[in-house]
Amino acid sequence: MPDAELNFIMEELRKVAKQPEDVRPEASVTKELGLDSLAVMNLIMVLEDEYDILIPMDQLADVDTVQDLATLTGTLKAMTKDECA
Amino acid sequence: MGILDKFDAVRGAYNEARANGRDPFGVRFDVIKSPTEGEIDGKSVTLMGTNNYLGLTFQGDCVNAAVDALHGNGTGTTGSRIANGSYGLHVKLEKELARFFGRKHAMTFTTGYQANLGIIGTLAGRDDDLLIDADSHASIYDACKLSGARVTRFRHNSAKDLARRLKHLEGNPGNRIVVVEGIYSMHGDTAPLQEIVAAAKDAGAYVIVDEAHSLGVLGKKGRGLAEAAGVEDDVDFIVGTFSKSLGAIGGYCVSNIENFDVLRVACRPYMFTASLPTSIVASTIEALHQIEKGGHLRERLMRNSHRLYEGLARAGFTMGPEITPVVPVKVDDAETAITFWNGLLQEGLYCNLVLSTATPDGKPLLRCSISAAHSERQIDEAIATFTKIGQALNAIPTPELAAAE
Repeated sequence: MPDAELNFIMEELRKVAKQPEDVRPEASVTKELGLDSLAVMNLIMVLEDEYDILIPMDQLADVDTVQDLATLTGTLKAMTKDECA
Repeated sequence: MGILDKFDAVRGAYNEARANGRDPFGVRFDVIKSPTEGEIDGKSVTLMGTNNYLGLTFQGDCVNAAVDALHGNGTGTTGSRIANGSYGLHVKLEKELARFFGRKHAMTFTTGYQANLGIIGTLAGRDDDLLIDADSHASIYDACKLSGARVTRFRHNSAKDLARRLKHLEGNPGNRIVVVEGIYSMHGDTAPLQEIVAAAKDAGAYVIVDEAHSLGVLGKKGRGLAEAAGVEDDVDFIVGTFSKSLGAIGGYCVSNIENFDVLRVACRPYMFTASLPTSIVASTIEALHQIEKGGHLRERLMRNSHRLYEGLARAGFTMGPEITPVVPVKVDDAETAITFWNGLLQEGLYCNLVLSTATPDGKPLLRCSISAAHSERQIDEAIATFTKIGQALNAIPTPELAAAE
């Protein structure tokens, strides 16, 4: 289910975005959806809990869009699974 | 696109904050008359938001020591200790700090911000993992960026979440470093340090505690939360500031770790900044002595904290989770908070307006900080002022309305 993370993130973003209807994969999390750094970090914690992963803060430097975040989450999830296996 | 355009959102919020009254982030005092009194536009104001926990800023011995050093050594050092050398007083302060904390080593910085930047940013390297409490001060976040280490936040004050994250990092080649604060600067709560330390030690992690708001405040001897929680031996590094209970400016780190002195030639925020003027160093040494014999100050500080916290809670305000000298009043929205803050200042009471981005849960705060130097009268007047304005703004119930319901 490659889109599972994306759907989950979009749902979470709709709760905190300035305009929930703006939430779409190509939207910029900070510039378009208006999340400040604290809101982004809180969303990260929700994702870490949901998927039992760690998302190091430095990796967020490359995240701009909702899709970027979903891809990063998916990658880290897959890596964590490999470690457990 | 203009170079400052990226701050449009911040500028908008700032303009809103100062649109209906004074600039809460640019208050101008004509004069500060004592640790608890200042003047704005010729009008007397009670200071209840200046982190002057022990009220030592005007203490006679501290002031005299500063004046003597000023006459003896001049106004400034004009460079870093690496380039210009150390003055006798710099070395003396480090010895006194080490003795006070019962540690082998101490190192001072020019600000508390730089102490965190320097220690955290230098100890943690690219292969290491930093685990910081989610409510950490900005200086800790900035230190993380400087370090280049992998950084994870754990849920505020949750040793369980910390343990879970440490488990994830098991087997990583680098060191794991856990950073917490003694008293958190916004909500005034303390870290559950015994549990945090236990989780860290289980995973072989180092522990750094920032005692910025707890030095001179917590612990029988005033050494902070690590002393109060009885875990000093398991805390590898303590960092802190001279700018709160010690009434000056500057920062420090103390530790028992071997080869500590290498930090003096590895830590850039230490190496590439001018050292503290000796007037500051001298008053800090004297203030440290005051802390050592200041059991009565700490008792008075806690009594005052209880008086303010309990008085405001009784009036119906939503308070922080724990009674410490940081006494925050939660307000529902920014507009009310701004009006409230202006009203307080109009009535001669200064506290800090903290808008959502700086608070952990996004709720604005009217943050008070209590001093041992506050009189009971000042505290009771503050409670009365808060209550009057709170009722006028419907932030708390008024007695008449409550009775009518």
